[in-house]
Amino acid sequence: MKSNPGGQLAPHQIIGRDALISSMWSILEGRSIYMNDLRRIGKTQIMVKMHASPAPGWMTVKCDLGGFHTAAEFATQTYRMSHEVLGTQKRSLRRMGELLGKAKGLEIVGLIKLPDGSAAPWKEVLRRTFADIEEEMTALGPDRRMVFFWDEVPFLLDNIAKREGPTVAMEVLDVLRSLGQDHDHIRLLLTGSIGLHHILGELKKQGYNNSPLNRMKLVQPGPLDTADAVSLAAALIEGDGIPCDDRAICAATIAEAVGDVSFYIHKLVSRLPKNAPASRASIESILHREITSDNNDWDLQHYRDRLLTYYGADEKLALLVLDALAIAGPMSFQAIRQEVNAQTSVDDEHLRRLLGLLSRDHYLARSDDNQYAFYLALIRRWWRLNRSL
Amino acid sequence: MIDRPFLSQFSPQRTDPEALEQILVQRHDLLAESVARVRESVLTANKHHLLFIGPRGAGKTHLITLIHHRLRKQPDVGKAARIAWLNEDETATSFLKLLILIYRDLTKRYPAEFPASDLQSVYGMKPDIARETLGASLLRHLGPHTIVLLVENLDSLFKDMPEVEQRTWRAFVQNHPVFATVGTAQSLFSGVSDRDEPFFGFFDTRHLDALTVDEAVTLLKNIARLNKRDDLLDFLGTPTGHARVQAIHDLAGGNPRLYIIFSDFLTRESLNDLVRPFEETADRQLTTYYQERLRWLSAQQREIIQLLCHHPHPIPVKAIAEGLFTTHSTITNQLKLLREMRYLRFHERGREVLYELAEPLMRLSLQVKETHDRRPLSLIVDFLRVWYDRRDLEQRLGNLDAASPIRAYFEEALARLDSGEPNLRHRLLRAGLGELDPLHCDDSALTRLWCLANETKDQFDLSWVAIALMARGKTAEAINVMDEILNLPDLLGGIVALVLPLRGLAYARSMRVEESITDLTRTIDMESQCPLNIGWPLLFRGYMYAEVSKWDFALADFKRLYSIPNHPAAFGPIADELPHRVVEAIFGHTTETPQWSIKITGFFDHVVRCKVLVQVGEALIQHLPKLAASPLNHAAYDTWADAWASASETLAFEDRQRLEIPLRLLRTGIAYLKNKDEGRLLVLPSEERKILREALKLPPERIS
Repeated sequence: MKSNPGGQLAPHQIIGRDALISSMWSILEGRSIYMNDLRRIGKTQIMVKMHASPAPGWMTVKCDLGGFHTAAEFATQTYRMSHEVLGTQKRSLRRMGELLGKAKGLEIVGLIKLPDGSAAPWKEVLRRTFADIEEEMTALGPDRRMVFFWDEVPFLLDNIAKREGPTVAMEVLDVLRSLGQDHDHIRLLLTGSIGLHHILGELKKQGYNNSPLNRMKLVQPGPLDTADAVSLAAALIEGDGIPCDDRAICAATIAEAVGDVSFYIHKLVSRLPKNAPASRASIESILHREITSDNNDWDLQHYRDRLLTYYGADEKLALLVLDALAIAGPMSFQAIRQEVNAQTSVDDEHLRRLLGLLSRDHYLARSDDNQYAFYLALIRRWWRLNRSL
Repeated sequence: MIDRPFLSQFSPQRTDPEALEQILVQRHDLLAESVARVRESVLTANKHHLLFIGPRGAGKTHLITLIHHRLRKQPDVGKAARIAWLNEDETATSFLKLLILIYRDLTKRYPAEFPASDLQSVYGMKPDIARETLGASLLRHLGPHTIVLLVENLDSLFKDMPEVEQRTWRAFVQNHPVFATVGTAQSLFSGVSDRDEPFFGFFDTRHLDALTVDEAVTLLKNIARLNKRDDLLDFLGTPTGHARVQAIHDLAGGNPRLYIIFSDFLTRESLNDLVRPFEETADRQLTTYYQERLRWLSAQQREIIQLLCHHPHPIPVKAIAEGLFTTHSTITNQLKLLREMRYLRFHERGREVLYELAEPLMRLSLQVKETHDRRPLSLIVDFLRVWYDRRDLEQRLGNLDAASPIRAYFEEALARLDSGEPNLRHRLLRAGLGELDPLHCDDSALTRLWCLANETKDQFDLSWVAIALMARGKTAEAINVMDEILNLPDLLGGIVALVLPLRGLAYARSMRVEESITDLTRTIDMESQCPLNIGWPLLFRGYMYAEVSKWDFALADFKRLYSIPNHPAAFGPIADELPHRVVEAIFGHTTETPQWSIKITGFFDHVVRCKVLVQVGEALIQHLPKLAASPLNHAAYDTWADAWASASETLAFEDRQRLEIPLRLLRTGIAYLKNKDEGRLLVLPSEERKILREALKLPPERIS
């Protein structure tokens, strides 16, 4: 198995996530999921793995929606993929058949057309498709369900808002909400590279007031479990033929250095030289060079640059909090308050709110014992270097 | 008939790939690794997306051509892959247009599999329909194969393609994992490195390093071998050849393409063979090349380059901002981008950052347009100044016909040399040495040092050669160089203080004792005129005095050495070695007991302070064979031991204890020496006997 930062992995080479995936199948029994986390944390890989090995009774449809620009394209594709998947079970979509009439099955490309040649209304296509799926799933058996793995939902909404206007994007959101909750045998698993709240924020400025995600379970996958991260690093070291003083130590060092994030493990292993044995020191040194180089594509500067955009007048306060946590490691609310108050005066509720926002935006994570820490060890490492702490 | 392979300077894909294999330098590992990754993409469900980054001429197309070549040589990959190699000058403003480019290339390469009619059929459709139709057609015809998409200038493609189209492209690749991508770009671009962009983190990016001078020499040697140019191959092994490569390196900034362009010039000795073809090259190739490079930049970036073209040396950011009537903050970001794209390089001076062109040859693009009336192009004048030394320039000018059009170049080059400005050739040769450590340089580095010093006859350059020669044990050659240095006029005090003791050491190595003592004495005498570390000169002079049995002088130097704070006499290997010389010198100094005692007592203060009393004890035992070899009688042996014993009485209790065992071993050793009876040793415990037997060079004790 060779390192492949950013590339597409075969499902069997996506290491780890088994416990999370198992719990996600359990959640899907009851409701749909919105999966949100940092870019490159491995959300798509989770979908790929679930799609490749569905839990018993589940049928899956997986699609990256970033290539659709209109609600009709999205609806058409949903129908088509459902049709294909059900076709494998020799089932068909009755209501859609009625809608399409003689044109049924003849349409290969483009939008679904009605018998009179006009484009089928996208909401009707989605409504009938989902109703048909529900009916077919029920007919197949009490435990049969279908899940749609929809990646890049925020891109879809943004594309539609740009092409057809924000109103249509809002309608799509509402339809997604009702589809996600109105059918017992159909679930959605939505995700995207960027947080859906960014798109919702834009749409709210245009008058959108609904909460399309509030019935969905929010899942934040986070980094790999440490044991899986170390296994991945060891497998890549072997696959890339990296000489090591001690492979187990090197694998553990790599996993720890990048905070157990699969993408960064691939990336760091791909940077290790093959002409000299890797060691703890050399790995640390290569990572240091990588993330501080002028020409690096790790884009960790993003975490510093976006503070002003995200927190406006609170940027300075956010810096104080992050600097303190970068230096000291995990801290309780009281300890953070003490550290911050040594430099400025801040109201407790204000600070709590900011800590909440920093956690929502994946700067921080709050542990079970109520300690705040950097969400990713790699960001803390970079923060200390960048801020000379 | 031309029997040498064609090496395209601007389109390596048109060169025979086997020739490209032969001239490849620096990137063998990268190439093998990249081919392995594409191979994995073709034969498994893992799909890699590689992106090579380097400025124009950095060898990106060379690399991609070899990846293509090696893949085609693998039959299993050939069966499973369908290669689409996009024309580097074509672009696409939508994913549909990119699909068209891909499909068109596949049609050309695999006409039976990808019918051209499918492509023709989509023209005239609505773009969304056309995209879907062509995408479906591509996937249908592709079947189980993987498309290896070779796409150059990916940065340009991203620049031209709106974000929503990039999302469509990415979604297509994600929904249909049938692509492996090998892309190139001139620099890292936001489309792949900005976290908000669809393709963030999608590519495995690799930066192509510029060639070092040694790699450039290897490249040129490879070209010479390929072209069966033994003369060029031999020439590259000479100091002059290396100097000329260094010159190109500094003008070209490590850009492989320029080495290939210049490889033809290296051995040209006739001026007509050099200047005229250079002018032609400048006119036909380099100017176009650099103008093309400038066209890639934004207007403000071009203005920065234009400004720096008029400055032959690095200038600070403030001066650049003022020169362009803009602010420091506006210019800083552009400078960073230009630096990342390797158009510029920077130097830090305290808190200030200074910028200059990464490739001085880039000035050519402006000079060709700005130089009128057939006046010499300044850059060619510079080239000549770097190519030839003064003597060469004068000689060649003298040989030129009065009406020769190239006289102007040589007159200008000589005028610039006489103008008092720093010698460009020497400056570049020196810069090429970088942070070379003369104590650890290989043959190639030594050759470069020689080359520079031979030309400049500069006291610093020659001193580096001397140090390097000494470090490599070439003492006789080092002495010659140092003789030359010390005969130079206007020698700086610092150089004298460096070279004189070094020559003293070299003489010592060659056992030219008197000359060594003379140089070292001159060095030590300089202490009164300038602050100087005279520790080492004292040490070596002491050794030299001991060598010719001038024991008093040796002892005086050693004693003075011990009085210098923090000198290695107090620690490290010298701390172990020097006591042996001291014991030897005291012993050789006299046979009179009182004299021995006085000398020993006089040293004790110093060795106690330097904490080397233990080493003195060790030296005393190790000295026993010399005692035995001396002409002294047995009574004198005892006198020697008594002298040490009585001197040790003057020591503090703790220090006296440190000498207790050595003195016991000395006495026992002497007892043995008197009648060679090993039984005398039995008064000692076994560990001490072992030490003493070793000192006396006796075989290990037999155990019965």
